[in-house]
Amino acid sequence: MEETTLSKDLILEILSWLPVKSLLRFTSVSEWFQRLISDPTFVKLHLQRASKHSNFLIILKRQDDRLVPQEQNFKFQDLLSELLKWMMFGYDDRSDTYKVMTIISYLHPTCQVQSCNEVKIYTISSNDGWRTMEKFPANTSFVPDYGKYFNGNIIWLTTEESDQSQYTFNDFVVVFFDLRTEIFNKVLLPQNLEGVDANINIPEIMVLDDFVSLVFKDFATNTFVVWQMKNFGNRDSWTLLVNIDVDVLQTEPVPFLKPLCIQDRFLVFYQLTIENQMHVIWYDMREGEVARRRISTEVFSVWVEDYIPSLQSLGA
Amino acid sequence: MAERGESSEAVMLKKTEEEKLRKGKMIVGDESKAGYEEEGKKVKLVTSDGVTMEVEISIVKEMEIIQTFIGATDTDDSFIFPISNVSSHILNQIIELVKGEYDQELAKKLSHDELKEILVAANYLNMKTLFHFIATAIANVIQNKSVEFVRDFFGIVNDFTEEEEAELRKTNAWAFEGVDED
Repeated sequence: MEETTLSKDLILEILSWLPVKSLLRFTSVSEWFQRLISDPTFVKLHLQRASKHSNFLIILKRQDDRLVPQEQNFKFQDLLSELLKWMMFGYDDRSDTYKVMTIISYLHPTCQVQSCNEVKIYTISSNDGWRTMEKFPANTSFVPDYGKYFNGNIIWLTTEESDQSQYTFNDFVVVFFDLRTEIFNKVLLPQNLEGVDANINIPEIMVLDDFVSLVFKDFATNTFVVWQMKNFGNRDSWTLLVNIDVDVLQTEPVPFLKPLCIQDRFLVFYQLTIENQMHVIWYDMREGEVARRRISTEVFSVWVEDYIPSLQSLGA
Repeated sequence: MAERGESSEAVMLKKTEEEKLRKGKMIVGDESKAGYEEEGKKVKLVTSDGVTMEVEISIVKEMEIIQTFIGATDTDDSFIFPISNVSSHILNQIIELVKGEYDQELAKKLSHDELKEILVAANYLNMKTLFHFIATAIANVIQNKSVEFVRDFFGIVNDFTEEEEAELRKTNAWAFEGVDED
């Protein structure tokens, strides 16, 4: 059989289905291949085709006293080290650009909560530099170190005021920043949860199954609770997804139990045992059954990110 | 409609039997059953190596290039469509893949040249499902392979200098970890 040579279009089609790691390796094939792979049109096509939602666990292990991420770090790290406190990063599909956002807060006692912060935005591959936005419209001292990205928005769970020592769920608010319009908005937590003690039942937000979700362990009923905001930005659309007996999920009290993702009818959790062992738990939301598996030992720290590997360059 | 007298169940059974018989075989010059009903209807395709093959209409329907042509003409038994870019061997492989409902296991049995030729054919015949299936199958084959393998696979000559290539490999060092043996 004769050697078949493929046209440029056909080669591009094949390459567009490859993972980033393979593509970076194949830039060494030839100068022409390198040009094909770094072409902005191809980079965009590849990003579109990369699977839309994949959850990854990032596990840090101690190795010769250094923390080594299990997943490859991206080049963004260089940019981060030069900058200030909280950095958020997201995609603005309206202008087809990536934006980096930072919140600088001043923790001075005389400072009014809503005015003691500065919000800045940097549009990647533009010459605008850092632009100052309106101020963060809630308590920044309660904001965790980074926001979550959801569908063109960066979202945080925080309180309206910072001068309280006791918080209930009604003090909390989901703040979201729309990367397209560059405007902040807020949504309250579900009405049914008003009055729930937030100092014990610490609420958290995360993106599960394409919905902004509120998760917390309810100590009064010993259940793990997940609510989903079915219609983003609308308080009335909060819907209870599950309410799971914590004893069903864990065989011993654990210091750390968090949802990871939803796969079909399974709500997947990860937990850290007292011996620093990591377990993944599948909770069958239909049957109420549980499966677990130890995946790692001697974990130093663990968190979850949702990302799509892309060849998109962050440099101008 | 020659099969009118039979119950529809019997027709179905008969068709399944025929399907089994046909599977994996080149159908050359088998004109006796052509056109007895829409489902079993066949279209004659002349391949690049001059073989006339009768292909079931259900498969031909995926070939958009032929569909447009069929739609524009009155089709009868004498309808013959030349597909000058596709060999009989590759057309048989395509038929297998479509009948096998695009099973990845079938793709694994194909040689590298067959994979490439099927991609070219799918593109030419405008078979969208097959095109996507084969493109991703090829991506699976090369995903964990070395740079040398990919050069060989696509027939590409390395035009980097030794220094340039060493530099690139250094920059993307992590991408060279865990590569399969060629």
